[in-house]
Amino acid sequence: MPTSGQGRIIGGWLAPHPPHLVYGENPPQNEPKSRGGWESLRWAYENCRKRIKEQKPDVILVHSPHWQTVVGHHVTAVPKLEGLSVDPIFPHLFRYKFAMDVDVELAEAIHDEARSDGLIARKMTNPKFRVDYGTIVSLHMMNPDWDIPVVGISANNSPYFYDDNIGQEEMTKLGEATKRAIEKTGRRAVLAASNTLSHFHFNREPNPELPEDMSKEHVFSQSQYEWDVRVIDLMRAGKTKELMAILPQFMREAFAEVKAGSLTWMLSAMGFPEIPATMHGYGTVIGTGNAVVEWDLESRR
Amino acid sequence: MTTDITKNLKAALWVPGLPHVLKPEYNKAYAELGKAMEQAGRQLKEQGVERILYYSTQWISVLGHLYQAKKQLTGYHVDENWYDLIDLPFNFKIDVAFADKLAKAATAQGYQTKLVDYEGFPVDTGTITADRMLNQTGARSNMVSCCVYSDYADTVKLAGTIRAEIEADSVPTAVVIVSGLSGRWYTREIDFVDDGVSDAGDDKWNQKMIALFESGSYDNAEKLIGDYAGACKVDMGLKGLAFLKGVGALSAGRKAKCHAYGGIYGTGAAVMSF
Repeated sequence: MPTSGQGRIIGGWLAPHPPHLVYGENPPQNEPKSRGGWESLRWAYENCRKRIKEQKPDVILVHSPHWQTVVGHHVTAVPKLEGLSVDPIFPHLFRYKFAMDVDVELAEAIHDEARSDGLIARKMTNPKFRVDYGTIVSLHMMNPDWDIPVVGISANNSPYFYDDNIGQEEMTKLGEATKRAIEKTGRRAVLAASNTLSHFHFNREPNPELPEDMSKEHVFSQSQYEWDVRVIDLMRAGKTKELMAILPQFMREAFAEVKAGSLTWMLSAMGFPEIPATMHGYGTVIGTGNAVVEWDLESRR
Repeated sequence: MTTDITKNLKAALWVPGLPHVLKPEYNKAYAELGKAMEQAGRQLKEQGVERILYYSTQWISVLGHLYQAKKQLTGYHVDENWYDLIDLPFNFKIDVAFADKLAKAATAQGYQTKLVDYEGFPVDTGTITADRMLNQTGARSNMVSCCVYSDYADTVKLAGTIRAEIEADSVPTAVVIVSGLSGRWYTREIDFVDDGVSDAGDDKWNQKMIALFESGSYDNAEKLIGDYAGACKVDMGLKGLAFLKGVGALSAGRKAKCHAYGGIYGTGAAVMSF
């Protein structure tokens, strides 16, 4: 694994993972085909792809709510993962042939740092493991060429099992361990928090004959939309402390998926940067609120 | 183990959905639960069951209900948590015509349904584990998803549509609920030999509910579900019971029998016939 001197995190992305985004794009890896849809988010991801190509990171790390683990925090730690990932919830939209190279050295370092910090951590070494669609969608939307190694990190269910405070404390420690591992292994890393914002959604498919019918797509509720805007505004203003302070309320009132800890993990790894984030796009998917947001840590060097 | 419930519904079972039961050497409770499942499978064989319909709380859906409809459903499953415990290759013969009937019947009652017919579909750990233990004759299978937005009453109604379809044809059928009881996992690493129900209060609640099932006091059990679910993080709020009610397995005079009970990574697990 090539390294680029002193390891550091060069950027972080709020990288939501609705499978609808891949479905709307029609990449060769995904079997179902569409007439498009959810362009505002897909165009936002184009900016991300461009930045990734410019930055040429050594690795992309993604924390996914759809790899939910009961006992501790797990990392993918097998050199190659490949197969067919069919989303059990939206199988008509997402049947994706994936192949990814894993940065095992970094994964093992994260595992070791997490354990040294008192967290329970485990290395997933089964080569037949089916990677979850959250991980795949975020990574595909960021880098569809899959030419950069990755590390997948599970979402430990502590935020759901205990309470928001304990869960987010765990994610904060995991972020710190991730940062140390990146520094020690000398990687230039990009992080991805695979989270939707507000997460109440429709309970029926609006148009089963045409899932990409954008005339049926809208925010779930005005209050949920206003919550998303409030959170995004704090990100844009670089008010990270304020953002962290209102996250528990956001989770409760908007059923926000950030409860799974991905955003907290990423912000913690980046040292809760008080820098303005760049908002690339916002859109709803079956009513949920999604934003593609960038924290460019190189800009402050 | 059980007498016929209706003309075509030969058995209704409740089994755990964790792969630990496939590792009897690790823990006495795993062995007892697994043995009870195998015994239940032998009973299904003796009863001439030709079709097993699974309702697993591990196959969740959010936009209505999904019905498995791939005729020959094969694959290789690795659990997202227990990936180093056991790999789970699977091979199901799905009763596609019946799946189509079930979906149409539910749709007629206002449910949003979808048939699922895709190569590589990730059958859940619970259904694979249950089938491996129960399906000893290569019986046909059906699978219905557990919609998280379908509450207890709604699930009773949905299962009622299934009951009608089971009765409308002549295939001897078993309904299998794949679900846990109390859901308080151990969130730390344990030695499997030390496994058990993680909380004494949960253990009491589980046994209290099982006792109600065994006495046929389903009405009383239903009245306690809210308290039980709130106290013990019960798997999907015990929605499996609603499914059993809907298919007619909780009718007056029928008593459940618990064949094995124990803990799997802290959660409550039981093998019960209704």
